[in-house]
Amino acid sequence: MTMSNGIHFTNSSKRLMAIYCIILGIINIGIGIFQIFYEISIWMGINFEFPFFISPDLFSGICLVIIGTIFTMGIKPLLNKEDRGVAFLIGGILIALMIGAIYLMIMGSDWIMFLIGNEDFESWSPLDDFVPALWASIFSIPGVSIAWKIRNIK
Amino acid sequence: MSQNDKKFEVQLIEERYEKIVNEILDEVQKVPREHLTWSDILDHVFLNKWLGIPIFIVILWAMFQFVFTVSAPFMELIGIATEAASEAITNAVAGTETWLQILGSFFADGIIGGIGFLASFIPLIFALYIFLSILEDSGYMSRAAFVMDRAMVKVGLHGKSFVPMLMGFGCNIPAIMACRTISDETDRKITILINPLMSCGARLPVYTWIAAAFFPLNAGTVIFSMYLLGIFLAIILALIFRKILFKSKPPAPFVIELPPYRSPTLKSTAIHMWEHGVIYVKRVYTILLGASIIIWAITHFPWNAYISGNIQQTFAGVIGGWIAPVFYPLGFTAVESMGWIIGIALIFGFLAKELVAEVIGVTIGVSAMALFTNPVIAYSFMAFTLIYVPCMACMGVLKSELGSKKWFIFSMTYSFFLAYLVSFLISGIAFLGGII
Repeated sequence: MTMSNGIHFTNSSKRLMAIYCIILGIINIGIGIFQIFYEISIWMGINFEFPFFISPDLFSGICLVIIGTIFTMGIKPLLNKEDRGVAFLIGGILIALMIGAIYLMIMGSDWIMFLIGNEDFESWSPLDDFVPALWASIFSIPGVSIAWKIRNIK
Repeated sequence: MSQNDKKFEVQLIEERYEKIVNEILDEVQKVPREHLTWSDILDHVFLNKWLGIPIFIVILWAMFQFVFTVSAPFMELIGIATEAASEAITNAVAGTETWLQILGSFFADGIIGGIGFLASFIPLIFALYIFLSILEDSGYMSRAAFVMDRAMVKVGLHGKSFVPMLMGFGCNIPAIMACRTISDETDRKITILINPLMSCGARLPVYTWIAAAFFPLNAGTVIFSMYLLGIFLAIILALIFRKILFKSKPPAPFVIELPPYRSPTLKSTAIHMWEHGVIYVKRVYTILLGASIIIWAITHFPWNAYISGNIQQTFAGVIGGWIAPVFYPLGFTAVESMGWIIGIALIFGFLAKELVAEVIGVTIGVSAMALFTNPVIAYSFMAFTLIYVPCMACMGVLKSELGSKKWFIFSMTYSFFLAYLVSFLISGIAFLGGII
């Protein structure tokens, strides 16, 4: 992507961004599908063995699938060296980080509830709130530098 | 500015755009830009044909997670303080003369209990407006309207209808008044008729109170589903109204100017939040305080009935008892002796929706868990509260904006029967599925 103020994304950096999109797409869609199936398996009373780091949550799962889809839609244009591919990477990163920030706030809120002594949070631990949408968003943090570089372009 | 002036202004704007589209754009040569701007980049994703609506839904979901999460500890703290103050007064007057006990109960249950309960939702309302302000100031709100336009037109609504619908999440009164910007009479009437289905902030305390009790782990998602239900019903009804009641042509094309994306500033977000949130605060200490006193009076008199534990013999118990049979088919009154509570709570819901939760939870002092016995029934009650007739202030605006008694009566009737039908379906499906 060539920008008037001198920022330039070479073809090789676009290829790198495509690989990054693939990784983020797989992580988000994969975890999202796991979460959806986990929730559905609970509804249906089926006992599947899911990895310990996956928690059942239908809406959070759907959100991750949507975020993963945004990343995935950027792969083709980036491989074709088209500028618009960067948009999907940045859009996906923004939404992933927004969801991650919301879950971080949930952790903070639950911590306060624990300090207040709310009976529902007596045995609360920070790990209870370290849900997939939160840790999956960590993978998007390196991409912030790309968004930061181009955010001031008018 | 009178309504005619506004109509003229809208007409002028539309004609100006029509001129631009018909005459000027033909002469303009589009020169491809050298580079994409930050707004172009974001619009590639947020206005994408396939991703636009799913992203909007993700943002809406994130909003309710945020609202519920951020406000929860503040609500808890206000609740603790209220309970402590009420208890202190009740203990101070215990065993004293009757008139002192009545006075103590008036302050403990009527004033502090009632207002404290409603005040505990102030953080919730402020959190809602923080998020709405961020969406507005960032420039996303107008994108949301643009993205939803395609879907809106398909279901027979004008693109302009989306802004009043979004405003309805805050309060239906300004939202209904905002429908004046829709110049076409049919489009405007349809939008006004469906606007009360957009879940306003006043319903939030009811959802929160029930969701926190029955769905503590997924409260945000359950509340979000209420908003989705409202949108879904609004869309279906718009389609039905246009096809059956109005039999009119599809709505006119939607024109909107998209502002560039901006980082919302802390100052502007705080100002917007305060401007909107303070309306709720004023409501709590004016209308809702008055209503709390009335509720206290009818649930505590005759005093002998109250003091002997026969609350069903109080004025509230008697009035609620008359209405309770209406709700038997919906399963709200599974605990038969508590049927009257639902009746009286829904009557006060006419005055202000927040009072539904206050009547049950504070004045009568019944927990959601004790009343509904089952999460599906509790959910069904939430749906009923969402749909059945709006509050009194909103009814007044509805009547004046619809401009005819006939449409106003229709609006009230359809919303009550729709609420009944939806709740009946939710409870009925759960019953047939063996859940209840």
